[in-house]
Amino acid sequence: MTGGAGESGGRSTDRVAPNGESVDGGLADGRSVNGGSEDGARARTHAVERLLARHGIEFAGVKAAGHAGDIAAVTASAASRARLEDLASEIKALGFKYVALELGPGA
Amino acid sequence: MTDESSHHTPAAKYAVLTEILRECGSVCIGYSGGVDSVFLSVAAVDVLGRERVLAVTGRSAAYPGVQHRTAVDCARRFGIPHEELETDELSDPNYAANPSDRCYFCKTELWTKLGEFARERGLAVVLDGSNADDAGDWRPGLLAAREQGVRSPLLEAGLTKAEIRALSKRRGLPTWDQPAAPCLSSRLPYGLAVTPRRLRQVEAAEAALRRRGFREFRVRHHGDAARIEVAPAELDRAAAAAGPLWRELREVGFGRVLLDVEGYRRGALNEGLPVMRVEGAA
Repeated sequence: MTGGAGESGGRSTDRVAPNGESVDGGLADGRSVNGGSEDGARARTHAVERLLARHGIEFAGVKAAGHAGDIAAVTASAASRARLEDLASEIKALGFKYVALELGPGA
Repeated sequence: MTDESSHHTPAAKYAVLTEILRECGSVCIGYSGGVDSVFLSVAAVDVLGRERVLAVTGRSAAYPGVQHRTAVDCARRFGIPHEELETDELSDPNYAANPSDRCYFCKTELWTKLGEFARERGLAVVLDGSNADDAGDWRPGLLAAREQGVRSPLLEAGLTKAEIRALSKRRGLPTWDQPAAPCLSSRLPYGLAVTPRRLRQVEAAEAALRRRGFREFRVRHHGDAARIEVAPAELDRAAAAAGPLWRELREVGFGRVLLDVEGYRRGALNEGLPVMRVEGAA
């Protein structure tokens, strides 16, 4: 192991700090911070989009978020929050652990 | 009221607690400033007197500053003898890797140091504030306590969280309705390494929510993303505050800010883990 407590340097690296963190801020066990294959994530998000469309929920997009890609991040209005809560179990069944509204500009 | 049911009232359980404390003689208490440890410490002082009680706070980067302030304030107001020591669980790679039994390594560090502290000061028994509700949850920290010879008198007396809150209120403790305040590492999903930077981000993000008047919440760290959980009754208010929350959490270093649509659920990260039964319950 090399390095000190290691804050994120923005570069991909296999160095591990004494506290177990990879210096680029990834997971202690070496998995990437992007969580699984991009094709798999895309398939899951498309499935969620189809689900939302079937239920008439207006949204701008769905992305897999988080270091493990296990958050279904939905860009939609605040008013959609309650309806997304109602559908949370169905969304999770499509391969996500959490369902969340994406906050920020354009959300 | 039958003789059997009279043993199960909060008053009866408190009587059992006082007997346990007398049996201990002198105690060193792991004192976080939470509902349970404040209640236990005040009870110990009431039963044993200040000379036979010492409440000790273990401080590290994972210990929330807001809880430290409560710990110090309550110790001063209620005459609890209080000291602090530094714990270094983040230097333990077993802890920093953030496995599902992370608490075992944290509490091993804490109780090892408190045990030495107690011996140096001639205090007979080390106590923790685990309560009867903890016996049915995933609690690797309780296993560490047992291995270190720590007693859990609230749990032994059968006192539940609700009963402790009620007794705290009766005693005039300001912590009676304080929300649960686990360490900051609990905001990182198992497998995401615990680092000082991530803990600082979580603490700053939760301070932003606290300033906006949210009372029961967590900010979960998912690498680049912050996932906010608030109490179900406050979800719509949080959604309406999307813009300011996004700006403030971006300022503490999160790339994406998310609001969990289901809200805050205590122990959600433990869903799917086995229940760990630990001896010592009444």
